[in-house]
Amino acid sequence: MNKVYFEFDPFDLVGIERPKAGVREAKEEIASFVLEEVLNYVGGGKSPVAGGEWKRSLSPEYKKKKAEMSSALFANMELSGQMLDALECVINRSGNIELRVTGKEAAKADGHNNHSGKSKLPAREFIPKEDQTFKKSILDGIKEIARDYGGDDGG
Amino acid sequence: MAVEKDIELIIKKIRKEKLERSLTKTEVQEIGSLALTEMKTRIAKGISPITGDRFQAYLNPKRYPGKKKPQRPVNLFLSGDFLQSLKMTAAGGKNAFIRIFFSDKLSIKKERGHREGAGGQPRRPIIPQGGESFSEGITLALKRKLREIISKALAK
Repeated sequence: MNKVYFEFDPFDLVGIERPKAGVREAKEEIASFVLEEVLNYVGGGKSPVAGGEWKRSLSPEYKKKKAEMSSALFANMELSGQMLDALECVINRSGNIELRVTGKEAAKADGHNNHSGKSKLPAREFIPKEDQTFKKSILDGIKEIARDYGGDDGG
Repeated sequence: MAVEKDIELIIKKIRKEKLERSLTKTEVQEIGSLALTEMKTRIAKGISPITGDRFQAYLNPKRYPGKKKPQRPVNLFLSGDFLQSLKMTAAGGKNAFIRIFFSDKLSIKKERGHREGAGGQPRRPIIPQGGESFSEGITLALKRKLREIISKALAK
């Protein structure tokens, strides 16, 4: 697997009508926001996925290994930092936003998120699957940014 | 950008939306405290409060941080003095502002080093300067706090 990702149209995701102008700028802001919030949740040992699983505790053996590299002795997805360094949130060729890990770190990302269905690792979901979405606080933030650009939720 | 005095950030967009008065000092301080908290929470997780992205890793972790501290997360924390000296002051009224700054000279020097990438280190500034602003997440949090304050004031 060389990519683990969640692709979405931010306006469809939160039920807001596309703004008449500034769509690209809105998407860039939203992409930046989503990445930040996902890192924020993960850094705190929590899943940014609505209903997502997150086994916060570590096995004693892994905790001992992690203590040599990190001050965080709970599951925060960061040992060497390479996987999280590979996490990005970008506008793809279709004009949608994609939260993703690609390349050699994708296998690790799938180990935690289990998009393939083959992982035996404890679940720690930080990239939603196709039938999932983000936690409400992230969706609310997306909505606010979209509204700032004139997106209308008819409310 | 060389910094030789207190690093200042003045938040200019505090406005009296729908209110018939300026924000009070207490109200502005609430927003400022939130800004400080949100900054420190992100920094502790290795996230830049300016870009919202991760701070770049140590280039030579054997050299620094070496045995001084774990190499992850990259959280600008060694003794704690640097982040403890990150302070906020605020004023209300017509010329309301929030100022985020370092309260001691050594920390100002360290922040300058982070901003300029002194000694070849990756740049990791934490106080927005010039055309920079807070990350999207912090900006949204501050806007929400401002709306909450205004709603409370209007409800009275």
